Amino acid sequence: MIALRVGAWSAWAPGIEGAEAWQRWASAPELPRRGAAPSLPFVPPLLRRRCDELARGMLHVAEACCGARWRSEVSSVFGSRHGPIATTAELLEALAGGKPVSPSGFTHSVHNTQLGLFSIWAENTRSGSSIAAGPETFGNAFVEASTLLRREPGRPTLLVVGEEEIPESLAAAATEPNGHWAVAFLLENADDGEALGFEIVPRGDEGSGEPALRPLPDGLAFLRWWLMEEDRLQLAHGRRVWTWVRVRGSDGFRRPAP
Amino acid sequence: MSSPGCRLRTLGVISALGCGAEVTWKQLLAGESPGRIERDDLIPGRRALFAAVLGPLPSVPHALRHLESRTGRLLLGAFEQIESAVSDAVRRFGAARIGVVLGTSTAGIDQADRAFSERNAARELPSWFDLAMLEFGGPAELLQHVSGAGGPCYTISTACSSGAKALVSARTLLEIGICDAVVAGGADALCRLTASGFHSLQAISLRGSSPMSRGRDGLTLGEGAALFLVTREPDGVQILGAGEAMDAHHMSAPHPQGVGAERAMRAALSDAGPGEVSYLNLHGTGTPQNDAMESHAVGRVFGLELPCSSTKPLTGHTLAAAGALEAALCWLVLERRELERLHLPPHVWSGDPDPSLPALRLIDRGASIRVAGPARVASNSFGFGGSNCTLVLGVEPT
Repeated sequence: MIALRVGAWSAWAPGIEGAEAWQRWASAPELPRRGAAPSLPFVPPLLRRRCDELARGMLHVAEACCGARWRSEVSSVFGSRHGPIATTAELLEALAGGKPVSPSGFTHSVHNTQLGLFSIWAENTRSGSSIAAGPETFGNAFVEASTLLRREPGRPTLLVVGEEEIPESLAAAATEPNGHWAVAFLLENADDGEALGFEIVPRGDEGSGEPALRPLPDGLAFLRWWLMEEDRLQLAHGRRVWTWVRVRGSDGFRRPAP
Repeated sequence: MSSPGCRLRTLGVISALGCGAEVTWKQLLAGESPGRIERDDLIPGRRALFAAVLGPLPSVPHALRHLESRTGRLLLGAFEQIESAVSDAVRRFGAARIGVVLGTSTAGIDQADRAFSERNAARELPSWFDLAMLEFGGPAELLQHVSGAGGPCYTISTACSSGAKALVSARTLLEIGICDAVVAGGADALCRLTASGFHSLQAISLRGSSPMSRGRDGLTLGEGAALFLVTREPDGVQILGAGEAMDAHHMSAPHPQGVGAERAMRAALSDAGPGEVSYLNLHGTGTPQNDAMESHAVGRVFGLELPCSSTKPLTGHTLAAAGALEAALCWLVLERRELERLHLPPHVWSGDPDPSLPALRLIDRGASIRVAGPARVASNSFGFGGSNCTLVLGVEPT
């Protein structure tokens, strides 16, 4: 089991802003749908214009989570199942309509667009990864963040996961809504105090008992669990159960074995 | 024999050079690429040179048809070559201990392009199209299904550094004990969207790339896949060092002085520890900006005597697969060592150097060097969004 510490968290979705609003959301959680994206007053206007809805959510939570202390210092993982899919859909429309592909659109359709925008805004030159893993994007982004804590020792890793809505032109091919949201966690190597234990538990009965449609994507399910201060979170996907436990050090909870 | 380290155990590779390690090595040393062909179906209204994978590819199993894509079929072409080694690892360690980390930037964008064209005629998206095809995580999921791996499984998509970064993550997954073996590499396919996109940025040379040349006018796009089974073993080619850095400069242009590239190279050398690098596989795309910043950065880090080549004129720029594919070519340089002699991939170009750039030692066909004792080589990968990654691979004498 891997033991980490959550140094800070932040979340954004349309109409849910601030820690109290997220606490209320956690007691009756729903998938947040499209709404006005954050205005990013801290980002210079030229760069802000390049930020799509996904980048606006992700940069907003990254700034709130890192503060001025860490933004240029952290290593970072940006995870998104669908990435900048609205921009990709615009390029596909242009191509299908025999129109030229926009160079700026193409540049901002790569999956690491939001990571790149973050690094430019934050003047962050450390290691950064941008990942995707379908419905298991959050757990795998957490794994990649664990690897970055090893590769960049002595500094926290910023984990940002978020989505924007599937555009109209692709909605018919989607099996579930994507929502519009972003979460960020500042992860550190655990010391002796409170920690977050993490492991991937295999299971034999592949896929049985899994909901056909999950009520929340894993990133938001994790946030809800974190805010509700429950002891254990298990998210089953196929042959794996992504498992997180709270380790409270001295007050009765066992620390995970190293 | 040294202590167990992270080893690149078995290679599966497919590119414009051919399919499999044997053919790839032969064509590479000859400096001949059968897949370099002119095509007019990738950039609307333009004919340009591309580096394509010729010949049939394995098909995606029917049960996984929601993950169909040319990227996926290229991936299967590489996976077939390492399938038995991966099966052995699954038996030896258990499925849950086997990870998959893959670099891709195209995933199934070819399928989405076709679906939008059919929609224009039929007014709705065709029923065969599934949004999963367009997900960047799709090719990693496909690989997980065919390999039987049950550990972490994800795509790294940081544009043209993805394949190299996938290998770095694989190494760290072994180090921190989450996995005992990782199937890692990269795959990308030629498709209209990326070809048109790079053309819109005036980054494609219609006649073919010629890195470091006077008057070079862009890159040649390629396609392919390279996969390694990465395990802890006492011998074999090892990832000795890895260095990563972001430019924090511009979304589609590298830092003009190559500060991120330099930082990645220095970090990789520091990670690898003492020892001399004998060859560098350049990122070497052939765009004016990349080659200018890279030659300056390489000159500052290694000086001008280190033998270098860009293999992209032969393989094309395979984008998210490039870091893995070029690690594969470096792996072959080390694996095919003959006693104390390393044979090096040639830099195939105009032969007319850009006088404004540092004069790197670009090597011709037939070049080899003598290396007594442990040997190490390095590979650069730099991508959109300012993502830089350098790998140092090494091997002890047998």
